[in-house]
Amino acid sequence: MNSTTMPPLEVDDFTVTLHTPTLSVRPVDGVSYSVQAGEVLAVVGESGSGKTILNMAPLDLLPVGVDAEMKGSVRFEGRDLLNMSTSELEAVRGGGIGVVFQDPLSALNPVRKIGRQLTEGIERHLGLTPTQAENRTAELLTLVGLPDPKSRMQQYPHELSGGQRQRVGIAMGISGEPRVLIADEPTTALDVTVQAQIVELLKDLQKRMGMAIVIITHDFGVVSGLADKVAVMYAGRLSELGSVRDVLIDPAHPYTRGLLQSVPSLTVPMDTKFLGLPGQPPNMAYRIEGCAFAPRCIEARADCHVNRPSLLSVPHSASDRLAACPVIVNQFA
Amino acid sequence: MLEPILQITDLKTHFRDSRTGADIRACDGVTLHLNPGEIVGLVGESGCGKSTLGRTIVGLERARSGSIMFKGQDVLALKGREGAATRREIQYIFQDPLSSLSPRQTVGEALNEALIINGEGNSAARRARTLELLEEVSLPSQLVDRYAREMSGGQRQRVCIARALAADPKVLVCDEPVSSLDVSIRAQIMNLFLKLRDDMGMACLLIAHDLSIVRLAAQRVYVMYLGQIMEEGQSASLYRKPAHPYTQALLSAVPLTNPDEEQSRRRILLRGEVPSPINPPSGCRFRTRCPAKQSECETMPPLMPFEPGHGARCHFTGKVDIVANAAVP
Ligand SMILES: Nc1ncnc2c1ncn2[C@@H]1O[C@H](COP(=O)(O)OP(=O)(O)OP(=O)(O)O)[C@@H](O)[C@H]1O
Ligand SMILES: Nc1ncnc2c1ncn2[C@@H]1O[C@H](COP(=O)(O)OP(=O)(O)OP(=O)(O)O)[C@@H](O)[C@H]1O
Ligand SMILES: [Mg+2]
Ligand SMILES: [Mg+2]
Repeated sequence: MNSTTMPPLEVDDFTVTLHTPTLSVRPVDGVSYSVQAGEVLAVVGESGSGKTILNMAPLDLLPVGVDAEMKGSVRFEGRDLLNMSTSELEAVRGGGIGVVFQDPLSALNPVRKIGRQLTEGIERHLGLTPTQAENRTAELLTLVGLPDPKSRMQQYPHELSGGQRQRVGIAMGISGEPRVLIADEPTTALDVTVQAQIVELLKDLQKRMGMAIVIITHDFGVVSGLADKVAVMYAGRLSELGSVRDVLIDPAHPYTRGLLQSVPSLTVPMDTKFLGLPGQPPNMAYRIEGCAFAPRCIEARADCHVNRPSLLSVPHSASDRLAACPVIVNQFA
Repeated sequence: MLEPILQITDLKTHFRDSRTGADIRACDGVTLHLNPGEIVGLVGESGCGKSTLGRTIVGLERARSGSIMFKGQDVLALKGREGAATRREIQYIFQDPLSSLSPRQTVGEALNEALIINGEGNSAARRARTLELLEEVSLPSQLVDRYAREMSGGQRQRVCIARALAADPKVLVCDEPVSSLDVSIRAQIMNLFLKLRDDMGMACLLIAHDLSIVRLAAQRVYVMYLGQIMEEGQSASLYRKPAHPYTQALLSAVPLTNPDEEQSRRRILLRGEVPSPINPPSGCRFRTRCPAKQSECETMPPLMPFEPGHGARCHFTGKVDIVANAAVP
């Protein structure tokens, strides 16, 4: 196999079913995409649509006790994560694949100092001496905008602000110099100036080290400033997948359109209400027959409620683009 | 003039550095107020003291000095049962939803408990209200039996919102309440806050880093930097003519959704390290990073009036525009 063209991350027809004592839900349903070296994929979409499970389940990073059944494949540099042993997966996490968790507190041990938590992983994954690892930790904390790193390293997680903790989580995610970085909403607690700094940092890692990045975010400013491609999720499925310019400037899927119309800007008139999609997200506990978005869709036809739409190529896009909506794809033709 | 429902005066909350014992001046002399039926925004750089201020209002941190007047009483002096009752009228939505939810309670149990504390004695009424609250925060009703760990990040955040609303608060202090929601559900929640403001007269201190949301929701805004308020004003005035260089830099950094516009816009990237709250700069706290600083800035500026109800803690209020690169007189 040719390692220069093989994408470091390939997700193929990936499905996750979660079993609880009382019910089964399918938060990820037949998702496929790939991410090239030096490419940034943004995963956006509805809260509860499966973004976290999609990215964390293959790495065995769901909360303990969750019974997850996985189908399809998720290949890291050609090797299927779903077939790896626990110890192989452990070597991949923090080594080849770095992870930034959605909840920074759950990634940090509350009773251990920030510094030790970071240096340990660095020693292990980069084979550095304790002193080298400490210096590297201080460097990383400075990179994420935490000044006076030596005294920060002596603090416990609760002594940091929400955004400071989140940045420690980012430092942890990139500390092993991973080839793939999975970052789950890494900027929710950051103000716009610090966020701009983090976006620059990630861009630099992507360019300089060819890091492939998957970033889950609700912030379209981050998407437009950082990502090359966007995957839009709704109810466990991909509804649209394409280049940032195609998807943000000329969205195809009605869900993507509604989502983008909900983004408030600094220029809308001040006495307006917030604009959101009408209706409620679907109940994931039931098998959805047709298009999951159909009950809320202004474009929906009768067969949208019956036939599950497959991803179709959208004509006249600047780059390859797919959308799971036959109605709109016909309009583009 | 309207009597404020919450008046905070010269509030200081400091922490001790566990290693050196030094004072961490997280919230360092904040004066702000909320009128009934008003949403007020609180914005500022990560680590500037917003959560510390919010947590002090609801009694989760101890103030060093200052006062917080609520309905004619200083909540900092309240004790015991009476204090708890008054405090219940001020609800707080935590920045970290997961750590504020009990791992051993289902959503339904958590909301039921909040309704009991609020004095709802009838269990059928509590059940009905629980379902109503879930619907108000756009959560499907089948989530009542879930534990926090069995939900997505944004679902947990909405459970925290529902729990705070179960107490029918007079004042809601919300710390990044919509940061982990998609923009569509964000809009639904913000419209819910607007409705509670208009129908129930609820006052709300909205801590948020999304400046577009604050602009649409808040009548007035406070801008905080390193433990102090740098600028305050009516949203209309403050967003149109930000007077403090820090606010100007902040607004210039708001990213745009259109990737072409995002690449080509003019923005100020603040240089220099954020100073430590242990040893904040003398004079104007922003001067070490201000592109327009002068020798005057070595003395602390007072809050200088700019437009009606709008002022900034800058010697050059109304005379400086760092984004347009206008020279300082
Ligand atoms: N242990 C569990 N048992 C049952 N359902 C679960 C469990 N964990 C998650 N879910 C459900 O799976 C769906 C997908 O969750 P996931 O965390 O992936 O959402 P998300 O897209 O990351 O949302 P958010 O943007 O709010 O973080 C949600 O509807 C959630 O309620
Ligand atoms: N318990 C604590 N002990 C010591 N220092 C603390 C403690 N809590 C907060 N701090 C410090 O006080 C300062 C203000 O923190 P705070 O959490 O109020 O910031 P914030 O404005 O909410 O930031 P963010 O936007 O990142 O959430 C920070 O420098 C933080 O490190
Ligand atoms: Mg998530
Ligand atoms: Mg905070």
